[in-house]
Amino acid sequence: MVMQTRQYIKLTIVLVAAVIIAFIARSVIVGHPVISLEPAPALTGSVAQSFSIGDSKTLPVYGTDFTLKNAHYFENKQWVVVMVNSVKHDFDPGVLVMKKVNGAYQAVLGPGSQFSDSYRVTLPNSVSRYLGESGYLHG
Amino acid sequence: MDNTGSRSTLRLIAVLISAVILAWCVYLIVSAVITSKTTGILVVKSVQPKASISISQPGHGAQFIGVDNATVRLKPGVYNLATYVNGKETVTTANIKKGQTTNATLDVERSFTIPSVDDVEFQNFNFILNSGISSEQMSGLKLDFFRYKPSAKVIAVDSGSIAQQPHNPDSTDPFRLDFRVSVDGKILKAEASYAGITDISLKLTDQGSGKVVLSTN
Repeated sequence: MVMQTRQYIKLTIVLVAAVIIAFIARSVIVGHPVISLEPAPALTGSVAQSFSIGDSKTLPVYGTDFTLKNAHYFENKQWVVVMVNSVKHDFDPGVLVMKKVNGAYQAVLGPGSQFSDSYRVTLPNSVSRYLGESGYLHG
Repeated sequence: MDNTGSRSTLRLIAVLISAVILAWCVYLIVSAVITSKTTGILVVKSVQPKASISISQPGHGAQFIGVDNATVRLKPGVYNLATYVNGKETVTTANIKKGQTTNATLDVERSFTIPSVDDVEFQNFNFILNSGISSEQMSGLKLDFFRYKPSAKVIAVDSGSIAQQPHNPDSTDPFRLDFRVSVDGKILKAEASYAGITDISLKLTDQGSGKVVLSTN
């Protein structure tokens, strides 16, 4: 009986060692955290990234924190204007103007509901015309 | 006999548990090898400190991956990298390939920004306001200067140069103010013509060459 108990203790030690070795081996082989992104509607990721501030470690989540609608693309999809709504009412709904920079969309204006009329000078005509006609530019 | 039977059962359970644990260990290692062979490594750094780094993909959500720098494994594909610091966001893309390491750097000083008239520092414009134009005309005048150089940092009126031009009270001609102005250090001659409380136009002439550089008539 004592003999058998010792055998079980040895077996337990071997199994624990095997698990520890497996975890260490996995950690060495993979080396770094594996990131997998959840499927989401177009522009969701770029909009969420534009809400990251300073050393914040969290990003807003589509459906939980914000929703998007009325995406309008301009200038061969180099520019996009999209309406951003807050699910938890953390911020006022407004439009976000994004431009493709280095292959990715970057937020360049907003989100907001009123922008300076001077953006007519610096935004492409198609974008400023849309913002003006939608009532987002004021003098 | 009963004792021998229970020992055999115990041994069988121990063997089964051992087999499951060992199989799980093998799975951990095999899946790690498969992951390392089917993914690539992204090494991303921010030039500015305290910068939150995130990644996203078209048709996918975004995820925070680190502050200042990050090293992660990703499935092959093109990813959008972004950082936001000091009120500026900058983005770039990284193409992740199987078994390869891709390096990327994010620098918000290279961020794309759209200039606004609100970004310009207008100096001594109050002297023009005191010369009789309305605040609405002043906004129009600033917008005209912004039209001339949207990237201007400082536009300064030479307050001593402001001269109201003669105006016949019986005519409907606009009033005119002449003054010198410095646009980021470049000296220009300005002629502001205004009528009523909203109409205003600006003509800018290069002081050196005498060439008209802006006329909003």
